[in-house]
Amino acid sequence: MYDGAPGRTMSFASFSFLLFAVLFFSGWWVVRNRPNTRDLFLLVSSLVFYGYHEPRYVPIFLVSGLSSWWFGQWLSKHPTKTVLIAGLSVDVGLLLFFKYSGFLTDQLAVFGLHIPKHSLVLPTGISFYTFMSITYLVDVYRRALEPERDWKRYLAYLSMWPHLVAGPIVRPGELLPQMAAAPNPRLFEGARLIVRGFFKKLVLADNIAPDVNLAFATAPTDGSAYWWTASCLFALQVYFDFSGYTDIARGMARWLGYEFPLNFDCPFGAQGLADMWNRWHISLSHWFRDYVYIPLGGSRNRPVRNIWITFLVSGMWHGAGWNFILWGMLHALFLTVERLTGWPRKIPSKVVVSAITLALFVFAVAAFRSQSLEQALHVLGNMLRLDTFSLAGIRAIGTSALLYGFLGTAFVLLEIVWRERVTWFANLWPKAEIVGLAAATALTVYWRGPGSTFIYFQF
Amino acid sequence: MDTRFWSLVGVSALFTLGLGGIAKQFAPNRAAEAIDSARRLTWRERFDIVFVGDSRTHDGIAPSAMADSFPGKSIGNFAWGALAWSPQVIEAAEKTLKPDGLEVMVLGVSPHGFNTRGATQNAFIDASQSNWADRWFLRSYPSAANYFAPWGPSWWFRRLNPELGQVPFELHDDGWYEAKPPKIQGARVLKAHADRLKASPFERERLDALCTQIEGLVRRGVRVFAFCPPASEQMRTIERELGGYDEPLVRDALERAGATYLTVDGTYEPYDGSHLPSSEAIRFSKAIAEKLAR
Repeated sequence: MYDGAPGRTMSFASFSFLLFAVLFFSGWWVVRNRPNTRDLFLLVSSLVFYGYHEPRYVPIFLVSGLSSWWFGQWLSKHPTKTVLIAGLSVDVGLLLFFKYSGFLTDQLAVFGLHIPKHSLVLPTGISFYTFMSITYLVDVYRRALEPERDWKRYLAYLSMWPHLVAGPIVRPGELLPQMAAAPNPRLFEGARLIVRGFFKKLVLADNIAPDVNLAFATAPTDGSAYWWTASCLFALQVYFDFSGYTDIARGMARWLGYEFPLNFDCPFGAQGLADMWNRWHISLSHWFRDYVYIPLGGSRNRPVRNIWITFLVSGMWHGAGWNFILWGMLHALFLTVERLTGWPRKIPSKVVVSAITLALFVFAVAAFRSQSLEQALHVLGNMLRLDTFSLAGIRAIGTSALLYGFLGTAFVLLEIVWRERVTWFANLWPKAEIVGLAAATALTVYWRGPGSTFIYFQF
Repeated sequence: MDTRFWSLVGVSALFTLGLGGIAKQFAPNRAAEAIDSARRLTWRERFDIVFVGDSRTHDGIAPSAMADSFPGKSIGNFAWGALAWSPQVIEAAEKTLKPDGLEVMVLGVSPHGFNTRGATQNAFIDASQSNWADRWFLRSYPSAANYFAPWGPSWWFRRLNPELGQVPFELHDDGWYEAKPPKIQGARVLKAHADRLKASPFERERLDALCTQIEGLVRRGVRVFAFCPPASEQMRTIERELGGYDEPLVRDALERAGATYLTVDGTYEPYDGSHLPSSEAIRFSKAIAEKLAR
């Protein structure tokens, strides 16, 4: 269940992170050319970052990380399915235990089976580092990756603080080779991403968040216009929040001297939902494609079944709640229809295809944001009742959120239109880019919204 | 050396400091509430009597006006905007009581303390969620905090439309939020309250949870009092009919839990239906202090 509550970890948008970053990068500048010290420094710093609010997270991470490293070594000598399954069991077992035991206990209680419920803390980022551990073990088993001999480097890879709590999911094949070489920090390229990320998060997402949180907490009114507006605003909020986080993470990685993969590629300009999933949370959707969908048979063997399984698992990955499963089912349904009809290719206007894609995405995201299955069904039901559409419903959302919603929409449109041209413009007139980024920095400081942590810290 | 990066750092600093300087001319104390919240959340002072509640208590209780009734005793206002009752806020309020003092906690109860809206968004939650470094910065460098405080469209919205909730105010060391509204506000504020209460009505479970906390306080030797901050007749009707707030029921439950319910006579004129302006707050505080002293 997502209720707008924060995850317990150090946020990039906090004064404590500013202190951490100053100390970390001062140290990194000293140790970056000493491979052993560098890995150890990165590992220790990442654990400090991770355990800052909840030191209890650290041992759980270490158990998961050390076990996958150890099984990786074993797999390189005995590449059998038994060893792979044993290795995966530890990671998946920890994830299931911490993330789903409460949910399972609740479901069993419905059938009269009452198991004492333990108040477990869900370790922030467990879903992300578990998937990275799984990738490592499977790739070593498939002989697609040489196992990392140095446990410090492996743990430093897994815990690297820019990606630790909310991704992107950086595959070992992408990052471990970079970590073996001397890092090459790119300060300006990093700053470019960091400024953009903070603007998206602090100005756009954080100013939209309060009214969206209020809408889903108290539902002050009903009617389709109200819920379509709230859901559209949430779609913008989650996009700016998560893509902002990813931009900051990728920028910080560039300051370290590493490159993280692209995670968002103008998703609101997508031509159909299949295209959307190639542009939204790319590192996760491609992970599901490579480690769930294709092993099930992909597009060659029973593709519809495979789509449904993949999106049900994806829904469950996002959270232990029926509303997330409903969200996964809606996407599976839309993708099935898209696959069977090929509708995006039959409509000549790209704008119309984008608009339909966006409407489907916004409809499904209402279930994602809801706090329970009952609320999700209530909201979706209202969204379908177009006879209740009225302007009063739109006005019922706060004026401030609407204003930032328009600003966010303009930002998204600019991203789509300028997708290729920004680099061209920056090359043509580099000073203008510096002035533009500096202006965005100043605006971020003074236009920032009420602080809230990143949405994907929950997962 | 990446000259583009350092140029960006320099120009950004210039723009940021420049914009902050302009903002300072228009609104020099933009972070006043955040600084006050950080200060009160980590209050080092300890009090004989502490008041807890939502914005009605925050505006309506002036501890300095109670000195005549409690000579030599320290009184603090630990109220938070839009507060809903939670174990965390009671625990934090209890920590502000002097261990060897009077140990009196006075709860200002209103419908917002018992609904989901208050439990989801309130000033206490906002302040508690900030981390120690942010609070340390706010407490230690208030001038810098004011300089870099937000000054965006949301701020201008509130500034240009006082009905959105912001009135001129002064913050006191004892926790009183002294509201200095230029005028009594109109029907739109009542309508906004009505919409909010209708959407997020009174919830009995939240009252029961507060009663459990009161029982705990009483067991630990704290004397608990409660009162209903003044509101206009129109507001009371809205709270009763749309918000489902039944004051006799609340009073009965709190008394059964061990609290003493104070009824204050006299009429007070809130500036927006439920919040007292400065002079009325002083008058009300004196009246409630007299009741308490008895």
